[in-house]
Amino acid sequence: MTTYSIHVVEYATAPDNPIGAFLNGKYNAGVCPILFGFIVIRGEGIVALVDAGFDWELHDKKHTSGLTVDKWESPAKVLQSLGIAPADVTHVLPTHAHFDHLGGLRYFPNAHFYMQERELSDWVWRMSLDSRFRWLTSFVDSADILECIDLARKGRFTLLKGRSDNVLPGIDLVPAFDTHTAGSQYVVVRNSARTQADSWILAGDLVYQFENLDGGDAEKPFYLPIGAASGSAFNLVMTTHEMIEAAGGDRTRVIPVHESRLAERFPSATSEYGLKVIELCLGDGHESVLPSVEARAAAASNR
Amino acid sequence: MRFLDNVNMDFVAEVIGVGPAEAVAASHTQDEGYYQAASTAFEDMKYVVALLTAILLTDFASSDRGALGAGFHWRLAEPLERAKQSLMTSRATTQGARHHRHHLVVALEKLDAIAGMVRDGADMRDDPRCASVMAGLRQVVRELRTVSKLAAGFDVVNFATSCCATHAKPHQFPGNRVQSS
Ligand SMILES: [Zn+2]
Repeated sequence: MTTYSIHVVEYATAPDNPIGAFLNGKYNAGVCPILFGFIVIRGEGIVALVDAGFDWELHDKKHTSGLTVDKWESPAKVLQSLGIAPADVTHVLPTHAHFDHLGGLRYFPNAHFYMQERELSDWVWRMSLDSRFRWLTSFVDSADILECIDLARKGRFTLLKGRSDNVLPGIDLVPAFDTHTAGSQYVVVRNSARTQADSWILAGDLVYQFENLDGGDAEKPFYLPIGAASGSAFNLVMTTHEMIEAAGGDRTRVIPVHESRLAERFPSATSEYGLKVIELCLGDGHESVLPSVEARAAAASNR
Repeated sequence: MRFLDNVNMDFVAEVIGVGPAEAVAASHTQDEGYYQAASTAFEDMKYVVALLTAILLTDFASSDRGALGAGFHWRLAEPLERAKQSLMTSRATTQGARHHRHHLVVALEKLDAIAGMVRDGADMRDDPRCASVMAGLRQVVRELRTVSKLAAGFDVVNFATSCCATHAKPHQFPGNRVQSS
């Protein structure tokens, strides 16, 4: 029996990103597109998102330097592909505090949030250092942290102290300290009667691309850490191994959420917004959403 | 000393005359002195917002309540004072710059009031003023976002150095994917 359906719902794309940020040491390998997506886990009355996305409406597209985002659409629009609204989201599991993972908190009025305490306490600690250490905090928008505090006051934000199994039935949150960030975590979905069989690992930014999992060498795979990290490459390599082990040794079950080629590896459809819906797996009794996504896109293009 | 290094002066200078919108470019040329001062104030205010957020977070969510100590509260004063000085001594002449300055001043006054409440080191979790501190900080954040939309060089988040989208000026290489060396 398969408990949850899992989809990657793309809400934005960015066209030209340096591969060196994704694959350690590949400084002259050019650029590639990335996707920004919500991973949606549905079943047993739960609608859980891995990461909250970012709120491009709050940022100034005209003046913002250094980021080209294509086709950003709101959660209300993109989640329609699954027949759900942001208010239906019951849980959000932010993997870390970067703006594109924590910036969309306000969109989910009924959700409870789970994050590693270390991710925030380390941010505070880093804030206590002098200005020469500012790189360590420059990827976090303090306005997002302010939202976290507000949610905590309302009892909707739980800070986890390390590994937390069965945060939701069959869903574990596993810390990866001092990797991409100080308190990153990944999500393990044990999808078959809550055993390790049929597990999916939703990796946040601990891996960006398939090559992080196999070094680009399918025959003789090796772990190639990401480039953009405030923690250590060593910890990233060890975490990559740990994630693949948690997936029963199947590295295709470790999902890099920014990897645009996910849409080639798994069944997918393109919505009327030109954004992908990628179907990782279907829970028992769930039907594929892809035909209806395609039908809506076709109807929109005929209008 | 600016903590969050989101604006660099070279960039502010660079956009003069080549800004994304002509109006912004024109007002930058005429109000160059103002925008430079405003940039300092903006960065200092962002730093103060981040410090206040860190203090609140520790009060609310951390198991290690004593982690920050009084020094953290004390550090609010210097950047606030500098932001005041930069703004008060600067002069905005064009309508665009005056509008920009108006929002910065509103944010600064609010921020000053909040810092005053927090600086005494009271534990905000049990403090009745907490709700107004939270509401005030959110208002400051809204004002700073407005400021960032009114002129180039005032980024709330420095995307140019951010994690996955780090590409201020992408260099195109043949072949989009990993090349074997
Ligand atoms: Zn990140």
